[in-house]
Amino acid sequence: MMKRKKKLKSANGVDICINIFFAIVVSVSLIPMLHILSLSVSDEYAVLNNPGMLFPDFEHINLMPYVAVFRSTSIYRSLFISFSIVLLATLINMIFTIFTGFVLSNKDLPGRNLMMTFVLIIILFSGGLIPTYLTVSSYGLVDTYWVLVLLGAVNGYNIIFMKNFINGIPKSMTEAAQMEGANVFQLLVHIIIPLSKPVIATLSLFCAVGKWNDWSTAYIYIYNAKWLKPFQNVLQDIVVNPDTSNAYGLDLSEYGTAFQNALIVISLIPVVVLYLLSQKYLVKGLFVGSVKE
Amino acid sequence: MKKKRFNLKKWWPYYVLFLPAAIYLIMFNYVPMSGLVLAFKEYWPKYGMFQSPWADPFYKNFAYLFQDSYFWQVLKNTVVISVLRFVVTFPATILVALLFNELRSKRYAKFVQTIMFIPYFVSWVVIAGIARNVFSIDGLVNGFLEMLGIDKVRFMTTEIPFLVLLILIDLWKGWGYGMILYLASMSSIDSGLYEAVEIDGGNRWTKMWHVTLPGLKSIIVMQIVLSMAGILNGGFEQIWNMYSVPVYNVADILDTYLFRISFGQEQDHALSTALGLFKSVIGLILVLGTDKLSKKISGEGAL
Repeated sequence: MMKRKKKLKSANGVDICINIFFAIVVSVSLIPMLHILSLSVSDEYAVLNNPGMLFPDFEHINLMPYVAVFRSTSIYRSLFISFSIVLLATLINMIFTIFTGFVLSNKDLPGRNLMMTFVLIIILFSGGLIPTYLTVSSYGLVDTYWVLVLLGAVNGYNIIFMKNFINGIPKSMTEAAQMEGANVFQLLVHIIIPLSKPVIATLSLFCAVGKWNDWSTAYIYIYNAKWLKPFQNVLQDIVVNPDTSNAYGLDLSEYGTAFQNALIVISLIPVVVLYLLSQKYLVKGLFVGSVKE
Repeated sequence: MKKKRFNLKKWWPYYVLFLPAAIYLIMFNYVPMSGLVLAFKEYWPKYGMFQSPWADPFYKNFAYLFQDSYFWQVLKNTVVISVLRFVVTFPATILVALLFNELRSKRYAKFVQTIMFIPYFVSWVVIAGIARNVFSIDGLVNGFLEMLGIDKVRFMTTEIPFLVLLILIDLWKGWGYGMILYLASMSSIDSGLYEAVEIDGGNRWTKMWHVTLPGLKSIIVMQIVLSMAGILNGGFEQIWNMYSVPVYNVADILDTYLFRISFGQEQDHALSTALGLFKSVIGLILVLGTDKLSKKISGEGAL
């Protein structure tokens, strides 16, 4: 009896250590963002007094940087551009992913191996920066909105992920539909897509976040058309290379770094909201898709 | 003896569904790939990539590249950073996943997982912005060091601290995601194996060592193959937004150098294409090579 009790107790000790370890991990994950949030809403006095704050001093709040952000038309516009790119690009990417994943999942399809290789090659090999740039430029897409939407619209990894998931759907379900006379398109719309919801949600989330966070496309392809710059690029200009912020008609000296921090907070909000909303599907989707056939 | 005939009536919808992706891939992937011939040419803007004249000798761009001592410097930096990333991130993520698997409270585990995943979705621009703030000379971390009586460190502009920062921030961003991949594999381990260990009187460490870890073999092999494939990458987005001239010596990698010779002031399109081709070819050899090797050693490949 005593021996058992002792064993139980030592197990608890280990559990407590593991719990504490993850409490630290959680803090480390959150502290940087909490810190920036606090700085962004604090006035100059509070920032000077306590530069390492984790929580804002509620007697020294200054929300003027946020007001200034929403008064700047260039920032407004960049937010609009970013949101519209995210919506369009995710939609297009998902259409490509679902169609192609579905086609490749059919093992009886003549020529399927060839098509599979066609997709796999783009995962393993690429033309690289300059050949891609010159090609896109020869299509007349430089300095256009569409380059931001179209680049990366077909993602080999997503297609394989989708294919693996569809392969995991029980054959009996698809066969039953076909017995009842469903054609290929009906099969896709009424059986495959509804059953793939967690995977589609997961891939959409990754695609949407990827597009929202993407700065390199506009960095390369938006050269003269400054009004097409997505929010990340405006953010990069203001936060990473602060000398260029005059280009946005902003006077940084007025708010100091609070303005930069406010922009960072604004860029985090959509991502975190989207993530928390799709959380229900996310882990499930990653679990099913990452298991190989 | 009828030969199986190709049944277009049955299969055409599949080809129609594949067609958009095929057209896209040709336009945006295969045409640029054929543009790699530029690596053996001299770039004349008015002729474009296909009509530009051949370089003389055809390997001129590569010869120039391999004679340039700065190329070897950035190549070394890239490999060093990639290897450091792998050596730290790979075992740390597995360890975190193993410990996470031991959490008893479901609700706490869910909470931890939700929070740990958040940094994965934050862009490198934003992370760089936060890092510049948190690790600045009078930022959060230096304030903490001062409290402990340790000298302040200029993290963003000193070589070694900057490397440490690169790797730790990368770990911080990626462990939530990496952990899920391992947990997914753990969930498919046969629970009978755990019961067998229990019957044999093994404790949780025996289970972890003899059941969980071996059960992760295929995902571990896959991670190794993938990181070998990416050894010449080194993390462009992170470094581009975080580095500055004082740390070029250790932090300028192939991709940042490639970017500067592609679009910077001293741009050279043919040279940049040659460097890109070099990177792609080495990457391909490494993926196929490690994949073959892992198949030989463990009977499992990633591809």
